[in-house]
Amino acid sequence: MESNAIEIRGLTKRYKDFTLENLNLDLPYGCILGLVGENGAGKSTTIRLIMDALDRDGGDVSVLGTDNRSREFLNLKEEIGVVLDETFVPEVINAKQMGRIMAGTYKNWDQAAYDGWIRRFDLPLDKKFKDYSRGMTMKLGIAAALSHHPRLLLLDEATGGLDPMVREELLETFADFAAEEGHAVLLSSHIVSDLERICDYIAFLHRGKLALCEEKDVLLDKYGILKCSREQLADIPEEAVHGKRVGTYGVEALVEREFMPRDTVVDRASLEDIILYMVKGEQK
Amino acid sequence: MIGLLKKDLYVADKSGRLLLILALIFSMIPSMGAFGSTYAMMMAVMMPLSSIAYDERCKWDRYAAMLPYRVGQLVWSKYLLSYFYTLLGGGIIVLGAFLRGMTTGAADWKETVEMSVMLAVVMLFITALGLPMLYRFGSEKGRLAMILCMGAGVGTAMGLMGIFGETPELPELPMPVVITGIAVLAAGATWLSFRLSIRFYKRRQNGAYD
Repeated sequence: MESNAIEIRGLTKRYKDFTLENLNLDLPYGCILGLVGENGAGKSTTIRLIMDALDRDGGDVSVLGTDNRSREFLNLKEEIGVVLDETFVPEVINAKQMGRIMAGTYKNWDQAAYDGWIRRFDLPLDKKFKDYSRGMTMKLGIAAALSHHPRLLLLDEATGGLDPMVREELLETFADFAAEEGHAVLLSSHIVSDLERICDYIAFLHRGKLALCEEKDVLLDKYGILKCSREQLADIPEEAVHGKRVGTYGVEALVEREFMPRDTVVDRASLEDIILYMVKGEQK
Repeated sequence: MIGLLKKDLYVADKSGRLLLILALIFSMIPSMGAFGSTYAMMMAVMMPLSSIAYDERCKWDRYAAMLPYRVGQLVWSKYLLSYFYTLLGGGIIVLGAFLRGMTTGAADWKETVEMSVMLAVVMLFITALGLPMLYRFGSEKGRLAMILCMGAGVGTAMGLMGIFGETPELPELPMPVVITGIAVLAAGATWLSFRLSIRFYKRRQNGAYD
């Protein structure tokens, strides 16, 4: 079996006012890749391009070992579960009908598994979508995505706007899924704390460009927060500083530990710190 | 494909049932004559139109693109929906005539069947004309464009009748030739319409009409 569930090379998509530029990304099997970025950074566009739902302007995408523009990809979609940031299902449909629609859509549809997820998520069967809360809608989308036994899950802002309890439950579900052999998850979100908790890899999209893509633990080891005076900061090698915040009483800077003098005290940086400083670092 | 049709039928559930009941009532009233039959057949156009409007409102096409369907299947399901309701409309006209016959004691079966077939053929052409417009312009503007085209068609026909006389002389042709001709025309129009619908659907997915 190939080692990556998703391989993206040089993927480019141009709109009038936005360009996703030369994206290169790998998602290894058994892993969760967190795709983080501000609204409009290109996360949803990337997921749509992975599913070949959009025409691209360049690049190649391989999903579960298959070129996503090949004829075989249509059958392969049976093995991919997708949850979008909204459910995009007519509001007059209910969970029972959704199950029947999906049973007529996926050859691998497992009604017993679907019923199990519906029970586990405590979703009402006869209530229409228009009366669902956002949490219920996302849970239903996830139940549908998991009930045809996919190997790959693509989740676009699946935890956004949910209360902490529901988010916790869903993150556990995704982690359990990824732990199974031959599975992988791509989770796009701008809630960085969620990604920090469950992801193995982090890809940061900023204004349509991949600003970084690293193993999460490597990233957290690599960077740290330095608190010092302006004068002390001036002594730090320039290549070590990736962003700074200058206050009245001193400076906080995101630094790369590798380039720091041995005796310097550097605090742990959260993923959110790293991303925020990197975005602001452009203005340093 | 079955999943797509199920979704459309669930969406049409309440309004569809209401339209069916009204169509049956109109078909049963002797004084309403052709109106009842036409109304029954108009369902065939109304239902895909309302289904596309629902799809647009919830952005179903974005979700559908993630499912194991080809674009052709997504588009063709709306044609099938229209044909399903055309058949249902035909059935209602016949049922209406049967019930009317039971109450008045006389039913003109030949006229009823002829009327059903004629209306079904007309609906086939309206579907072929209408669906590409709905995919190109969206349900709101597409509906208007469809009405304009139909109006232009009727206007042209009436204009030609005005020029050449009320009942233009048509060559007498054997019935099998007429039926084959209409079938070939309908198939050609549907094929062309389907290709256009796919093209418009793909362009819409790529944001060409945003």
